Amino acid sequence: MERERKIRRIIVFTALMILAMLGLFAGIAIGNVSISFKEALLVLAGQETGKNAAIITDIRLPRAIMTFILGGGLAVSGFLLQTYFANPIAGPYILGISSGAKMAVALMLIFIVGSTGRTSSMMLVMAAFAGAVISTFFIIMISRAVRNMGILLAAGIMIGYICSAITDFLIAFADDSDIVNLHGWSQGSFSGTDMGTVKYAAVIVFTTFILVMLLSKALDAMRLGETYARSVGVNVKACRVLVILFSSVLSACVTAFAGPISFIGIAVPFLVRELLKSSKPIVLVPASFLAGSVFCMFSDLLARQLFAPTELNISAVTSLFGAPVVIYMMIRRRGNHEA
Amino acid sequence: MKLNSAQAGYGKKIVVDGVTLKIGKGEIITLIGPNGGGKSTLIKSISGSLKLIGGSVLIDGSNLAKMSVKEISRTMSVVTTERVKPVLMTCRDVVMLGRLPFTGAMGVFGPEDEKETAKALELMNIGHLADVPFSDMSDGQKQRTLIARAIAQSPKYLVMDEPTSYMDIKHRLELMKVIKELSESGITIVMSLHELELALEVSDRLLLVYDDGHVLIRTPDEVITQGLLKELFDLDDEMYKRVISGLGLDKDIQGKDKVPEDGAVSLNEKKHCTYFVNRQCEYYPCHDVSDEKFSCLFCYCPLYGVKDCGGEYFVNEKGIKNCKNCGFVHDRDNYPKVIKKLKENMYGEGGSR
Repeated sequence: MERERKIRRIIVFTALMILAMLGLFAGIAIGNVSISFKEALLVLAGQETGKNAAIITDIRLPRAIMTFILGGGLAVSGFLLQTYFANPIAGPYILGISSGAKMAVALMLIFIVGSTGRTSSMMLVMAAFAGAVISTFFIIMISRAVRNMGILLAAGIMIGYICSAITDFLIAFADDSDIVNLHGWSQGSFSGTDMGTVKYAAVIVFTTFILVMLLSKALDAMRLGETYARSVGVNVKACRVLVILFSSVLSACVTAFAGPISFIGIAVPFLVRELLKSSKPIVLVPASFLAGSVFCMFSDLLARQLFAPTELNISAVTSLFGAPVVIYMMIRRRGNHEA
Repeated sequence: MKLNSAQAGYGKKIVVDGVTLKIGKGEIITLIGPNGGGKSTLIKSISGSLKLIGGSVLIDGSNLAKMSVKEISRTMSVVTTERVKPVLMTCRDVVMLGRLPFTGAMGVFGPEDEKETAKALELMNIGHLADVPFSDMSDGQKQRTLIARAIAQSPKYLVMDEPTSYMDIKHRLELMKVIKELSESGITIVMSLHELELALEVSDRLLLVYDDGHVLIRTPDEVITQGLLKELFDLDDEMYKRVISGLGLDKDIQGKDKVPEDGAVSLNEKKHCTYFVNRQCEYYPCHDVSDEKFSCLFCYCPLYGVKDCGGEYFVNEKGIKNCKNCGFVHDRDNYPKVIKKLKENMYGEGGSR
């Protein structure tokens, strides 16, 4: 069993790495302007300049890196929420946390940016974080009052609707110029990413990722519930606060830079758990990150290539693949235990 | 470990009051008392998962309330009644989590941890189940896994709430043996038990937790000779008599002649109540005796080998049926003999204490 798991681990991680490399490269090489693989390689090696080189370094490369970073961040955020609520169907999108972040960003774009005309990545992230924390807070309040997971999820979806409704109100009363910005963004898309924002996102996501890894021992203990976690020396309260903080930072960061993206947060950690046949956080967190990246990169590729030059929003693609996974999860859960 | 007039309870409501007790190294203290009397509350307070309302718990001289969870985890391990539902963890994984306090910042297990885990698995007799997913195990096996987890934590103090729940009689007795071994190796054990016969046998001292929240600390002998069980469980004479005779202690009491007026046991009246025949039992009738002799109260029959019971029986898919002249019949008078037989089966001839 242990041996089998180790082998699984090696296979899964190797496969994920290869897929991630492949995804990154595909994101760079494939696009509306056809650039040969060879040329793309040369550009990456810095040996070619020109129009195609600009397309790659200014448009495709940042976008590919961004999908890699944010996809991973989203999956880890989902993993943390699932740990917190002890429920495999929890995720930033379904619990309304992404929508909360989206509402806060919309508020900021319209009222602050609209009146001052200034915007920065930092402001976006802060606003999204505030929104994410507020919805998370509501969800936690509700989870205190009801123990039923079905109700909690329904409440999360409702919070999501309320936030979306408010966002829509705002859009209705906003200036046309703001709406243009807002609309593309609120659908969830990676288009228009530049290297500057990539750097921001990279710093935030990787820092949080490392902190989450440092928390993995506590998360490991939490698998047997709070009492046993405490009995092996975990400060349960601090751990719970950190889990919520980190997951909010991650989902806020994703929402700020790419808009709300559905289902990666739920489907990916589940699939990774099943693939690895393990629920050990120290293995699951990096695996979820990689798998989230892979899932997100290929979804983005599909979103922009399927009906090119028209771009789909990425949630359409992630929902298409993610939702069936979640339905399968729920059916299996019912089959196995009393949900 | 020392308890100084400890008051345990939830919020401001005191459930158990005024517990003062000094527990020596390697001692076995068992909490007994009626359901809802506060055994679990007291256990939770001792293990530090519930704050005391008043008084203090001292562990090796330092106040439990002031110790960090890390410090506590290196001296004490717990088994609770809480049901856990870990996903995708094998039995070994669960047991190994007991080793977390001894790992580094990332919680990676070393060879020492593997060794302790294997030892705990062996001790609880679940080595063969190590690779079985926790969710696929029976309730009794899960319980044994959680106890193994607590043992793997190499504690000085082992605090267990109803450790025998979900276990069958064989594993209960095995657990009692393990508990004795642990206490001989210097581990102090505080636990609550439902089974009076086990509590009386294994404990050094009993902590009687009454419904109204007061407690008494007595040795097992004192509990019986002072007739304390009657008041503890609010039994009437008839019920108490039955309990005592079920424990196989009525003759002892008669012999010692120490029975106080209140709760005295008289062997002259031997009324039997058919209340103790469970005709719904899938094994009924396992013995060919009349109903007034039959007692299902202490039935563990299908769980032990009765090949040499000396009776005549036939066997169907439900096990042995209609055993005539059985040496280990479910007669309440026969219970001590049944237990003795069980122990012989487990520890070998002459292995009983």
